[in-house]
Amino acid sequence: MSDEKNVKAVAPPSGAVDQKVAAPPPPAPPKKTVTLEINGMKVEVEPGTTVFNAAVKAGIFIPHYCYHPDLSIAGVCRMCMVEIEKVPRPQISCNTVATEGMVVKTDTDKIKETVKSVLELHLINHPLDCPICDKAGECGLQNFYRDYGLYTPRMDFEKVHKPKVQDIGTIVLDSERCILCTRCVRFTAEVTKTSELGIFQRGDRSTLKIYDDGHLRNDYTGNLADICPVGALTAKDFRFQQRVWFLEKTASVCGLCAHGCNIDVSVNPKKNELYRVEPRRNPEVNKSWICDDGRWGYQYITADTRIHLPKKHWEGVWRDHTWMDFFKEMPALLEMGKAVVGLSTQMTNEELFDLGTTLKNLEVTSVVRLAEDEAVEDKKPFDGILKHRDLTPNAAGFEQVMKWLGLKWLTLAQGIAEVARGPEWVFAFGLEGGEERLAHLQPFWGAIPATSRLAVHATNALPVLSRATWVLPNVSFYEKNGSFVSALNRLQRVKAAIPWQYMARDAHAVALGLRRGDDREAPNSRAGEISFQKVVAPNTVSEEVTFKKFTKFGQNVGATETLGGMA
Amino acid sequence: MSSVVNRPKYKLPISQRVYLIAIVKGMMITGRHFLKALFNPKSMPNIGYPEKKRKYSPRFRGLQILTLKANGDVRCTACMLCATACPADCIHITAAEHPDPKVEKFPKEFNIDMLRCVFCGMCEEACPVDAIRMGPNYELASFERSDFIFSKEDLVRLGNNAQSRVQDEVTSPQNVERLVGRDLAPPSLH
Repeated sequence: MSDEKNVKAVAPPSGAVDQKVAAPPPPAPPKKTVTLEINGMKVEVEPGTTVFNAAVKAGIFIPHYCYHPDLSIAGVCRMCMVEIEKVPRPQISCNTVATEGMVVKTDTDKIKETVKSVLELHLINHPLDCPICDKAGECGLQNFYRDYGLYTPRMDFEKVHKPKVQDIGTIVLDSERCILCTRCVRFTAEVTKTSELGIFQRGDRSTLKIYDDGHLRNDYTGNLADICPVGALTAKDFRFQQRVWFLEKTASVCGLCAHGCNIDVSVNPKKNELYRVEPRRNPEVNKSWICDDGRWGYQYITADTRIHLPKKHWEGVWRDHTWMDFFKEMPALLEMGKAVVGLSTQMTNEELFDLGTTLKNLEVTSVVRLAEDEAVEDKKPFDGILKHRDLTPNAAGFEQVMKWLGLKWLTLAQGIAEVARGPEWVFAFGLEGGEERLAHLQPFWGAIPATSRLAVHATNALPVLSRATWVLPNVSFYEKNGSFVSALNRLQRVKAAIPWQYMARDAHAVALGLRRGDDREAPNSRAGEISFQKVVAPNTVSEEVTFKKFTKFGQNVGATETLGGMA
Repeated sequence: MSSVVNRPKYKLPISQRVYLIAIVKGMMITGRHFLKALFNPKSMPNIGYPEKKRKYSPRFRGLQILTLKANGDVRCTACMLCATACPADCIHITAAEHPDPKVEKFPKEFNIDMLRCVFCGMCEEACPVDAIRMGPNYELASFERSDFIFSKEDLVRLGNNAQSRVQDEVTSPQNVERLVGRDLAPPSLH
């Protein structure tokens, strides 16, 4: 059942309210919940819920290392100890099922002493190389030592030394820092099902190692650095690049494939430089994971191939131009019947709406969807986890926006046939990424006859640009505000983490330029947000869902798909 | 409505209206100092800088220095705590992977913009490995702005000038005990 229907059921139209009050109350359903008391607070949970999750529901934080909401329960770190009435010793809350009438305490002196002792055990052999450890600032050991530890160390003996700085592919493994929580072992066993990691030996010689001293061989390795609560697994890409406390996170959505994984983009606000992309937990879309392509695919925004200025190729010479030159020339070029306009599904709904409206006013008839047709039809991740064949984020949104606009569009196959007829001009708007990500457009470029002129609005240089007449710099989705509709038919907000780079303009600016014939100077205008509220929200999202609530996890629109592999 | 305020005119006394008396008084002071400097230069507070330099207290805190390990590498591990603590935002460090896995991280670049520096000493205080110190050097002059951005090499060179003092302070056990207490040996990570 879609969320939209849910919301409507909760708040019926005002006329219907009176009738419902008059109706007799429905018989109470048999009680299917368990009530327990945590720190004097009554919490009602479903049977089978652990004490830990009941505490989470009550808003009580319990320190933990090995527990992870999207992995199985191991119960090895012993940090989440709680006191339960009528049980003689403290129990681990993550693996204790809540029962009716249970009385749990998490803040007694006994528990504080227990957590402190457990932490002391964890730190006995920890090397304490925080100054050179990348995790410093977001490390579980640092945080809990500050909150629960603060003891004087009693360890007088030489610490056990284990191998450091081991290259295991995209990740660097430091066994000495490991606290043996087995999150990474469970991740490779349960999520990627590749099982590369394991704990070897026993006692204080227990070591996290990779089998056969090999390399990680799954596409989700970056998540290991995220789930490691200490600095044992650090990502090579981010290693020593920046201290985490200099970074600011922006909650956004990944635009590198159709799945629409929720991400946090970390940017150093002083330099406006993007340093890393991390998954943001959304249990209905990507849980806590993203693929390596989405995590480390951001390099194209600073690559040498990035287009900085609008350029025109005229009479054999490339010249730098301003956007104004293009906007003056363009409306005449788009005359009816003479131009084929390709719209990339990498643009946001708002951009598509803005540009689509403008094209409609200019009476452009041939609009082509620049996305791989078969891949768009394939709504399921091909690896059963997160990765989609469709590398454009907004193919589903494209269809909906065009439906609202009443604009007829052609699939890529139809578009190829259309351009082969030899229109005067071919336009391609909103392309993002390098040659590899836009490989599906090769046949489209190939079909354009030599007599047709080409104008391309893209972020990075493509081989086809050598024969283009206009080359226009586009902004990446890390620099955009707007919304995408994923292959799961989920409408989600994209937020700009960095300002527009160079002379790049998004499709809003292009549409405005076409309408008014001037170049909007203001970078990162609020156009995305405004058109979201004006256009996208009333069409898809029910009014009860506030903009603020919506931005966090997105909402299903249209038919709801089951989540392949992750559900 | 007038905004002009009529103030009573103040008339200077005759001794001040004639400036000559004050000029003669001033010239007498100048002459006294001139003669003193001519016949008894030792009594003057000035020194002939830069040929002669004043001896500063050993506790003087001037330009930053980078200290070295026994093997000659910089002690700094590029933890960025000094850059974090710096209120003037004048420390710029680029970290890199050290070929020796025991060292792991080291500063590829370590630049201090001395024109921005306010010599507050927070960097020295924040450093967990005693790599950066406020050294005894105080001379800071140049014709180019770019010369005031001190690189890692510049800071090590400044440190070498002050090496004897640094060595004494770091290595003498009495000092260690006095300065940092019983538990903390001279800082070393590995």
